[in-house]
Order: sequence, then C-alpha cells, then structure tokens
Amino acid sequence: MTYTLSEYESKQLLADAGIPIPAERLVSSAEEAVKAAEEQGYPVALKLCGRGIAHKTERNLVRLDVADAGEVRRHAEDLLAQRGPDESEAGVLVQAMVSGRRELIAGLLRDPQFGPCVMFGLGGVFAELIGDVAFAVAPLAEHDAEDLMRALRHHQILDEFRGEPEADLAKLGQILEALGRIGEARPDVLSIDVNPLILSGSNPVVVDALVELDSDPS
Amino acid sequence: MPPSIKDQLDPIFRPRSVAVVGASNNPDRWGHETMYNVLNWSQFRGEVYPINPKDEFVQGLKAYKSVTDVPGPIDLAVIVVNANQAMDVFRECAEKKVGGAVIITAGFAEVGPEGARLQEELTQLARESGIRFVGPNCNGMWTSAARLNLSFWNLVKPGPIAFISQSGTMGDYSFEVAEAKGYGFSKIVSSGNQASLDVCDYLEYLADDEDTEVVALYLEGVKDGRRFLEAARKATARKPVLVYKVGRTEAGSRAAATHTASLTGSTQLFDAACRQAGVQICDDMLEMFDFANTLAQQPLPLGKRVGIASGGGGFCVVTAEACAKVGLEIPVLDEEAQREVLEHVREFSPSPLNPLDLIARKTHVDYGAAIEILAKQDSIDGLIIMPPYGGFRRNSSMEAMKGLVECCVTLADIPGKYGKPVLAFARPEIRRTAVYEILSRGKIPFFESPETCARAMKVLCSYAEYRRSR
Repeated sequence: MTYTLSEYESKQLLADAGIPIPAERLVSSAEEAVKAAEEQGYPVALKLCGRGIAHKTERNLVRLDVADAGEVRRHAEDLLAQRGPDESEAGVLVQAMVSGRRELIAGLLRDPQFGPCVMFGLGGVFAELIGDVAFAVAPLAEHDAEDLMRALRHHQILDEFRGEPEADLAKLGQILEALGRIGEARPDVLSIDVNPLILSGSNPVVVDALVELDSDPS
Repeated sequence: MPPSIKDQLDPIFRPRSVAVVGASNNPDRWGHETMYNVLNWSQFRGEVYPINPKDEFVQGLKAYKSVTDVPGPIDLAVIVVNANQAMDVFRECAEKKVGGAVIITAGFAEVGPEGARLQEELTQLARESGIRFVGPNCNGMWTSAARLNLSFWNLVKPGPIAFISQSGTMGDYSFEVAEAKGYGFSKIVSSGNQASLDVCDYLEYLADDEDTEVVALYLEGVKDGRRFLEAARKATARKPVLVYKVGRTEAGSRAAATHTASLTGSTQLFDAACRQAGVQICDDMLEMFDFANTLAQQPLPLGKRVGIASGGGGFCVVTAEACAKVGLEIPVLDEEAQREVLEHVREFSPSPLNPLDLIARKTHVDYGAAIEILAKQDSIDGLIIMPPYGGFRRNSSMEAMKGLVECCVTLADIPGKYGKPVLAFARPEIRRTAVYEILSRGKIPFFESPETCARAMKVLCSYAEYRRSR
C-alpha cells in the first residue's frame, strides 16, 4: 500500500536532502495560526496539511494572500472544519506568500527500465496543455542537471524574460541533483512531486511538495 | 575473476577456426547459404569445418558428423540447425569447448512460451559452460577482423563502422544501402533475441575494439536501461555512438512487441539516458549511416559555427536555412576576411558575408583559395561546401585542368590542416570523377542534399559538445 506524506513532512524530507524550503509553521488551531502569521508577516498562505491529503486546490484547501489576523482566523477555522473523517490529525500550514510569475515543476519517479529518474518542466495553469517536461536518469552530475534544464523546449523561460531576472540556475540545478540523490538513497520513496516550484525573482522556491512512499512510515 | 568481455567475445569476432553446424549441400537450406557465404563472400583465412551428420563433403569441404569429431580447436560455432536440434548441438559445442557461438536458428522466445523455455535452457547451458552467443533468431554477422561474413550476399568492405541491429533484415537492407554509398564496416551483428549477448555487451566490447571508430545501433527495446546508460557512457568516452530506436509511436511499439518481444519503454526516459550518455539519436534509419561515416572520417568541430561555400546562390540559401533549422550558426565574416575573399572573385560577385556564393570565382584555383580563407577563420568551426562543379571538358585548357586539381587538393587538405570538418553536397555521379577521388584524400563525405550535410554537421557538433563537457 503506497503512502503519501503530508506537505509539511514531504518538505522536511526534501530539506533533509539539502533542498532549501521556505519558512513555514504547522499549527493545530486558528489561534496558533494567527500567531504564526504575525511572526511570518503578511500576506500569508494557509493550507490544510495532513497525511494523505492531495489535490488541495481542487478541494479548496489552499487560501492565498491572506492579509490580516481576522482573515487568518476565519480561513484557519474554515480549513480545520473541512477535515474529513480520516483527517483529524491534519493541521494548518502557515507560509509566507511567494510571489513570482514563472511556475515550474520538478519531481522524482521510478521506471522499471531506468530506475529513479528526475523530472523537470513548465508548471502553471497551461502546463498540461503545453506538456513541456524533460527527464534525466539519477544520479545527476552537475552537467546532467544543466542539460536537463536546457532540454525543455521552452527553456528560455529560465532566461531574463519580460522584466524577470535570469533564474538562479546553480540553485535550480542543486535542487534537481538533490532529487536524484533521494532517488538513489531512499528506495522507499516512490515518487516526489514538487508543484509548483516558483521562481521568485531569480530564486527557485519549493512552494508545494508531495512525497509518496512505498509503505506506511509509522 | 570472470574473463573480460574481450576474452569472451574475441572468439566470436576474431576466430581462427569456424564450424558451421548444419552446413548443407541443399540450396533451399539456410545452412547452405551460411556455408556459401563463409566460403565465397568472406576472405576468411582460418579453418572451416562443415558439420553435417549425413554428407561426407559439404560444398567441397570435408564434413564432420559433430563438432566433437573435429580434430582441431573451434573458436566459433555457427549454428543453423532446426530449433529442436539446437540444444543437442549446443551441448556438443560445450563438450568441445568452443570459444563462442552464433545461433542463427529461429523458433525461440519470439514464437511463444515453449520457445522461450527452450531459449532459457540454451542460455543456462551457455552460462554454465562459459560460452557467449549471438542470437538466437538472427541473421548472423560480419567481422572485419577475421574477414568473416555469415550473412551478406556480397563481399563486405572493411571500415570504421560497427552496426548492431536488433533486426536481421534491417541489418541486411542497411548494409546494402551503406555499401552502395561506399561505407565500410568493422562489425555488423544481427543480435536477434539477445539471449546471451545484448546491446550492452556489444557496446562494452566495441568501446575498446581497435577496428571500430563509430558505433551505430538499431534498437527496439532495452532490457536494463541503467546498464545501457553505463555501457553507452563508457563507449562514448572513446568513440561516437548513434542510435535509431523505435517505440516513439504506439504503432511502432506494437510492431516491436510482436517482432522481437521487446518492450520499447518510455521514449522520454530513453532520450534522457541518451542525452546523458552522449548517444546521438537519429530520426532516419538510413541517415544514421551517413552520420556514422561522417563521425568516423572528419575531425570534431570546436563549436557550431558553420562556413558555407557554393558555386551558386540557391545552394547557399538552402544550406544556411538547413543549418539554422537544426540550431547551427552561420556567422558573418569580418571585413578583413571579406576583403581577402573578394580578391578571388570578379567585381560583380555577391558580398562574401558567409555563405560565400562563389559563382563568379576567377578560376578553379580561386574557388579553393576562397574556401580556405573561410576555413582558417577563428569564427568558423566547420564547413559545408559544394565541390568545384562540372569539372572540365575535353576542350578545357591544360591550365584549367591543373587549376581544378589544385583546387581539389586545397579542399582535401582543409580537415587535416585546420582540424575542422568539411562536408560536401553533390550528386552521387560525382563518384565517377577526379574531383571525388581527390576530395576523398581528405575523407570528405558527400551527401546528395545540403540538408543531410547540415544534419550531419549537427551530429558532429552535438557529439563534440558532449566530449567537451565531460
């Protein structure tokens, strides 16, 4: 039975592999959510976060650009009320809003012929339509990561573009290499889905991530 | 320590003695053809032993009832008996301690579970006795090291290309096309069901094979993707590897499954592995040999900036377009170089920016001189040219004839002198001319279309870039 870690746990697993993740707090009440948001600074993003919770957007479990304490309280209470019968452990994830116009995706998958492979591609609302993704067999050397980024048909999105600076390719490359390392070191990790990976200016930020394991970790 | 891949495969590719098991006097039998090829379409200098339980002589040679009756050692056993006899024959080969085998016989994994079981038995026995084999269900092979040809209805020209084909007829057909273009082969292997030896083993062997300068693969599926990546990586560190791989479409995948029981797998991951290993993917099966020959004959460029020269404007335009389409660059020459070129053309000549339209060259000698100016520019990494066109007629002056020869020698010397590749486009009829003979001194490859030149240059650049980045 495969098992999906919560967003918070997924990001911790990425962080353990050396992937930088944004500051965020997992809280269990609206009260704590307000406190975390005050510390974080407004605006914030709020998400219901627990094991097995995927498709957050479709379930309206993501609230963006929440601007003050009253709104945080209202959304946090609402999110906690949305918990399903198996989701009583779920909490609210309080994150700084990440602004950026360029959305990417990255991930790890396992193939019967090639083993662990790293995926990289365009994200955002038209991602599926455009279908611009490329792969590399793990482990990735530095030049493999560079080639993977250049293998996108629209790799110019990483260049200086419409007032946006050039992406920090070194940092992006390190994220891709780290995903490959997880694939090598953690045979229990079946897949990783980093979506979106937002370019905030030049800086790639792991805004959401889900890790699928081959069995229940507890 | 297990024997190296070289020790395992040398008996197959460098045999000093060959037994043809199932050699026949009946022209309707495959064993007749194989024996005929060994005797007539090979220049094999070693011992040949026909194995036939009934006939005393096969095609003029003394036959033996079994390999175990052969007095001397047998490096290579070629097996062309029926599938139901294959196991017994192979057992005798193991007893005889043959060095290696080519199992042409069909009727194994490709026909169903019963055949698959037989193939597994055969493979198990091979493993136990340390004998590696090509096939089964294959068309055989050619190896230049022993001048041994089991498959082709012609003498094969020895040369730098090793071709491993998962399809037998594709191997035959490709060989005929490549042969007509004058390409030479170090090995041609129809790998069949790949029960004992698969593409990874061949790659590993060919990486260090001194007769092979470039490897071309026809693949339907790869069993172990990671092993392919590793083997390919080792090979490309030494020499270029090209691949034509089916399975890009659902129709192709389905056809491959019924052909060699291959699972074509994910195209995107296969492409990724090729990119990581520097393997050049070809979209056109036959063009792969044009690229292979180019890689074997011409130096690798330092970049992707191409100089184009032609005795006519239209070809300049088409070549520039074809180059740009595949991502090559056509830099404009600096003014100094343009001035130099202008000395070799008449005053009404188009501006020599690059491409150089040399229709108005003063003489043949000036044609070669202008192209050499292009070749020596630091801003140019490789050349695509039209060779001096038309040659000369019976009423040409001696000076014009000498000029043409001088021009061709100038062009032929460019790859060696400047370390830059030169590719040429011309009609195949050029092979009958002195121009072709002289340009061949510089191993300059000819293609019928400027587009093929551009794609071949692109492959040179891609492989060169891979080698620089590793």
